[in-house]
Amino acid sequence: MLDKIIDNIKKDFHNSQDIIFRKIKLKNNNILLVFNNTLTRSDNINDFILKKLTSLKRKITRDNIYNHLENIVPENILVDIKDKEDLYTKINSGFTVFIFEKGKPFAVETRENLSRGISEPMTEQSISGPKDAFTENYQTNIGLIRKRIKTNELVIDEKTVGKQSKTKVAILYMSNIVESKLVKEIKNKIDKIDIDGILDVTNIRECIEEKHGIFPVIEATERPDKASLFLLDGKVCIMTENSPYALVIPTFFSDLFHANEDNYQNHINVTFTRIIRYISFLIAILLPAFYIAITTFNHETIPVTLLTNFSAQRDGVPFPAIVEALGLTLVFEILKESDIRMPHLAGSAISILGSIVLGDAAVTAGIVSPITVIIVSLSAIASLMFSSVGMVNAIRVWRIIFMLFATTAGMIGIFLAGILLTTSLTSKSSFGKPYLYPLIPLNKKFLKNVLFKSKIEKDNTRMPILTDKNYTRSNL
Amino acid sequence: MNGKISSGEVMAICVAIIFAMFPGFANTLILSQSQNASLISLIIAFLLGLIPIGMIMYISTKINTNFFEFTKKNFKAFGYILDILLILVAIFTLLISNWLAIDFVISQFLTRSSYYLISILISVIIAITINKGIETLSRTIFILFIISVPVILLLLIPLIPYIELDNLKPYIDVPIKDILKSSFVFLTVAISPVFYILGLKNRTNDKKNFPRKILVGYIITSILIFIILFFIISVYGIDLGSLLTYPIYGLFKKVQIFGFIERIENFAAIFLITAYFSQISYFIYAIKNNLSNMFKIKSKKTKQIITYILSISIPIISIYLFKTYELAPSIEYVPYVLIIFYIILIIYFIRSLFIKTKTS
Amino acid sequence: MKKIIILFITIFLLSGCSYRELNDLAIISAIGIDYDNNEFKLTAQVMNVKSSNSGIAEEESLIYESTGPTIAKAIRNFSIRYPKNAYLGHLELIVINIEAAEQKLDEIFDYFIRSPEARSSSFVVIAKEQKANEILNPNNENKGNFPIEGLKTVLLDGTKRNGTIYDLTFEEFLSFYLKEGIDPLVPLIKITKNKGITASATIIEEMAPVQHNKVLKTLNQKQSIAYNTINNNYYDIIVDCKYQDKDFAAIVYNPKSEVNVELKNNKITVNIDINIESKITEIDSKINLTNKQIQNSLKKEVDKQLKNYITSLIDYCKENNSDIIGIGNKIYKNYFKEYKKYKNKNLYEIADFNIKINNKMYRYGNINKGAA
Repeated sequence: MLDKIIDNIKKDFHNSQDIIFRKIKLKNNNILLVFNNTLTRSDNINDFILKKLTSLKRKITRDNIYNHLENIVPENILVDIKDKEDLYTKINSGFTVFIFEKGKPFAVETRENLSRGISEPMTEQSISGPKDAFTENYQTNIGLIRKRIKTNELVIDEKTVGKQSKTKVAILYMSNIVESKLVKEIKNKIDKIDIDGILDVTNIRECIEEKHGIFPVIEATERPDKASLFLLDGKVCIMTENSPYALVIPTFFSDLFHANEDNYQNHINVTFTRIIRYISFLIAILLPAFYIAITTFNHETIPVTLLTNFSAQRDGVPFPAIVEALGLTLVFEILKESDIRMPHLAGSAISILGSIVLGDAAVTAGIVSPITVIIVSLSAIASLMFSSVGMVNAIRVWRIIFMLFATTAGMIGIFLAGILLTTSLTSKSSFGKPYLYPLIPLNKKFLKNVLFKSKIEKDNTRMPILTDKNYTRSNL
Repeated sequence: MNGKISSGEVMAICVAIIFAMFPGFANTLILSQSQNASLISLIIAFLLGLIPIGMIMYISTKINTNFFEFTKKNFKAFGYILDILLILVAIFTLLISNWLAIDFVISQFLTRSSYYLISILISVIIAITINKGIETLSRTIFILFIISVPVILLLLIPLIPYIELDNLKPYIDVPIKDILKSSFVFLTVAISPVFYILGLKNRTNDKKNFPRKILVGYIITSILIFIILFFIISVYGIDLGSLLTYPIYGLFKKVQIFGFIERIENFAAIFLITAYFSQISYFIYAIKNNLSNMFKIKSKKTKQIITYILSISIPIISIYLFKTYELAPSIEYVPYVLIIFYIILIIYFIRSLFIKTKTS
Repeated sequence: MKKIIILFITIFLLSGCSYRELNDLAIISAIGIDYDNNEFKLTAQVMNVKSSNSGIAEEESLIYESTGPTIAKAIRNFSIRYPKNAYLGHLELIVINIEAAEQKLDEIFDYFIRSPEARSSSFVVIAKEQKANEILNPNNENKGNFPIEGLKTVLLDGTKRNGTIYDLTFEEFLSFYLKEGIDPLVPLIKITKNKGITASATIIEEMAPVQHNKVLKTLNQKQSIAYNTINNNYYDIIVDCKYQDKDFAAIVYNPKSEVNVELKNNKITVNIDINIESKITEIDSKINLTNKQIQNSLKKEVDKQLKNYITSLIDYCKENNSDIIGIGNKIYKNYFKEYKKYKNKNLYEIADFNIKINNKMYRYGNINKGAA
């Protein structure tokens, strides 16, 4: 009879070679073990389960083995199997299935740890503060958050999403802080997702976002300390298997300007750095457009010596200013993208080539003027100051829009594009909460904390838009 | 986003409506009619203007629903005529202020561009902003005002060494008739369009503070205009000040900071452009609302198409009229046309005196 | 999404339609206006921006010349002969010939104020003895090394440190010209020549008042100093006096002067109050400066000298019927109703002047006796 079961299972798995069937004879009783070779840890099965089986002194029945294993191997999960679907799910999740001639089968978890260890974050680095990052292991990730918030109010809800990939999705929130309406809305949206496979948590982000805009409305973070801070604020985190990122809902525009060190350093230093960040945001968006407006429409804005300087530099250049600026932006994006894809072995030669090609040779050959190179690279470097990828991409798009407006109408064009940017930012909302909070609607206390970091004694309440239950954060 | 407008935004819209027609039109008219006594005529206009503002505040306490519903309920059939008259006067105001805005932009900044194309660019942006809804529009106007008013006040500070208080004398150098004439200009051009702000009443957050915010906006704008006129007369002297078409703009040409930042009038122009943009977009929004309520249009797409049609066609018509019929010198008759706003205001006021509101 | 497409279509239709590239501009830094035979003759100094091999521009100017019946036409005529468009946005100096100033001043004002491009803070000088063409193009070489920066410092220093001229910007000129009862003073420019042939130096050291259709006689140095003292135009100047027939020089600081005009019963009284501070810089005798009486007499000498200057200015105004101090303007401002009676009269003949000088001499330098 066990042979028939083996044939059925083989047919259902289309004869995949990594499903292993083991028949064990124990005192004239046959037990069938089915497991997936690639997902299970072999020494778990050998040492703990099979050896322990031989130490069973009583009669070999299903329940005896069940109880024996339950007592001997308390670490691993032991579950009953309900039906065939459940059997296949357990085999695919790395469980070892015990099938008996008489009695229901059960499964023991013997999962292999198929991920790398906890390492430093790759995209959000910081100088001070903890330096561990999420990995692709689901348990590790949630464990990293749990060990920072050791209270029972931290709730983890699980859902399964994806028809073929059957990925586990976890929703984390603090039940004594967060608005229950927000959690219900998020859960409703996740339930409605009908998709083949979820490979990364950013796939969920695309499905949940209401209106796709240019600036990111939901942020993804790689660091557990940042996620814990957001949880304490009253936001909701979403994590999935196989993904080293956690989504944070809702995200405000001001969160894109915060870096990680802001929480770990002196508030005066942090205020200074934040002011530099605002200025670099303006430089990144406005500088090429400003240069184009000055050299084509409003020549009187700059002092006359600077004007003759620009004029001398642009003397032999064949293209108008807008074509130069757009071309150099394109070249810079190509450099940035190829820098990410390049293997380390091919390293320094290409970067030298890039700098020589752009810097010296193009200027000497008379194709571009040196001032355009300076301006485009300054603006691009200023945009790289932000740690969020969505923000850098959004700045890229808006920079081009501003440049196009500046070629049409000069400084007036820059003003009009500024009006358009303001309109686009005020009309966004992140899950019902206005994107430009606390500027609109006006909340002076939080505005001061968001623009310039205030002392820890004054930072003692949570934002009222995120929570209605629990306001005080500290009583310093 | 639940469609509610806060009171700060109402104030910003009020400031924009009053200030928009001022530079380039009322400014030169007032300065050339009552030379040094423009400040006195401004004070007289401010005091006299409290009466219509008070009337608007009173009417606003009686409105609890949509403005169109209010008209229909209280005037029945006559209400349609009032509505159409209101729309016509609003379109007339828009024709004038569109021309003023485009003329300012092209004559000072983009001297070689074509009028029509730049006006299409501006109108497309206005239409995009309106189509996102009134709360986006009012929030954008609020943010733009927060940015531009401190810029203007900060840029006036380097002009203080150039002030010569002597230039203000003699205080009264024209007969009283001229002073009253320029007060009349200010009253009609600046204050009467504020009547249109009643359309916002049922969309605001705190309805009790609505009248107060109108009054605060009026006072702020009057103080701002007074400061600007004061600077114009005392820095330039009245002879040069009444000669220039855009003396506000010319004032900023004089500013020199640290000896090398010289021409910052481009940045000061942001205030004027904000005022023009806000007034034009709010009026087009209000006309669209009125039209869609009158013809009972509910579908969103039709409303969007109406916005695009209004915002693109009105500037084109105004440019065409001003160019072919050379109407620019006869712009002096505009205050007399805007008296219609006052007539409508008085009719509403008298009617609303007889409305009994339930004391809540 | 549709909105963005509409926006981009409009932008692409409009771009490239109406701008001027930076290299197509001829940046005019100084312009000279002559007028004869019913024609304007303009000379413009243009900054030359050619990129040399090292990438830095050499500072050399070119000279453009053109003629035309009106100024606007003459400026357009520049592009008939020379490359690039004339651009007036960075204009720094306007040199007007005396004939142009006497016949066509109103038209010059009109053009420069009406154009939205021209700066109103450029300096104005009048060329009395030579033509503007000779001043801007001294040896007729068509390649001037006319130091604009140098002239700007001459103008500014001449006002603030010497007190002999006044750096008049174009806007101020127009403002004074339009005011009732005051005449603007314009600095004069001239060139000295070596042996009458080649130019050697450009000099701005005198002023002259300008009335409608007339440029009057130049003021001498004393009268200019008096004018600048009354109007608080300098930081400090040097006044030469004599004490017991020995020369000494004093620095006069910080003038804070006021002119008050009172009109009672058809009698005009002008009170000129001058508050200054002074300091001795150079003295040619062996006196002891710590003596209180000697200090007082030195101070009185300085006061007397200044009073001489002011009286000389008042005499000039009386002779030439030109209201430089601005008495008419003050009557217009303070006694508006009676101004009509005094409108075109020579007020200096009927007014009484009270000049009061309040001098504080508080420092005598490093040494307290004469060094001789």
